Amino acid sequence: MTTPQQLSKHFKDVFFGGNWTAVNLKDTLEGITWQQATTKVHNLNTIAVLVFHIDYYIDVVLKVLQGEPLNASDKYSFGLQPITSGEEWRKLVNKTFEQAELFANRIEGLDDKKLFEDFADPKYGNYFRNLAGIIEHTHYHLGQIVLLKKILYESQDQ
Amino acid sequence: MDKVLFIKMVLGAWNIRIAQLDKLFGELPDEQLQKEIAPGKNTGVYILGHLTAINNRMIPLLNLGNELHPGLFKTFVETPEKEIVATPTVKELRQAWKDINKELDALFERMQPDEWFERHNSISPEDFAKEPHRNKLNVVITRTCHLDYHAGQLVLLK
Repeated sequence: MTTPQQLSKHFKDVFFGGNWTAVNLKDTLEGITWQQATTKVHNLNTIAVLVFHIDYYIDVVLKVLQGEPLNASDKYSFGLQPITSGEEWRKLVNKTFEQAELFANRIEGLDDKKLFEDFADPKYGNYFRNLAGIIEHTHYHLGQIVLLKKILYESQDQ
Repeated sequence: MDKVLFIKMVLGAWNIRIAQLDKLFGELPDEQLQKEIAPGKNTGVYILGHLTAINNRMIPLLNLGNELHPGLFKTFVETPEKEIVATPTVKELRQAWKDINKELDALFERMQPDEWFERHNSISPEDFAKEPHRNKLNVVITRTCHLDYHAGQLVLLK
């Protein structure tokens, strides 16, 4: 297994399962309704906003992997348009997983040497740093989504 | 593949996350750390203990010696928080977190590049022959993601 293949596996594991923490985004989002996904818990971001946020960075990094320029802004990364139906929620979730599949395939096809090249601009570090960063970023927010889901399910039971 | 550069990148990501958590734990006074991350959920102290226990277990897992604090794994990994009978004090846990990470840092420093690509102690020689990517360096990658997962939850205490 090459290093890009290994990175791709870690990426797929956090989205689709098989990672060491035994938690993945696909199983976690399973069964969450659009109403739950958009319910605000305390002052925290909603599940829908966190999914949008995860996908936002995958989208911008994927574009670079596809040869386009880096075009990202932190201020837009939480800018989810209001979700008002199950269809809109499913669309967001499906888009996230479709992008994730594309992203994983792109990483897998990279040459080893590419990992240590500058990512768009030297100030952003190299490809490895950005790809590993996307995986870590997903784990970070997955931990929050898992917590929000538990709180929402428990409050529903009461 | 430049092994040394790859190792440097992986350990760099690990060190950054440890430093970020050091800072976060430093910013959270004991009484805040003792609060539940969310109502009815684990406290910050339990997560501190959990992360410390997992890092502690890395020492024997990587075949680098014995755990510095035996017993942490049983308390903070195998036992749910609400079933814990006796727990170290917050002060003791904060110290254990620092000591274990310092020890890991020193042990990592002494490892030769090729050692990182050897088998760790929880994979059989037969499985490792089939999946050589499940090496010691891969343990650091997965444990970095584990730190990320819980860091995303710990920030909710702030």
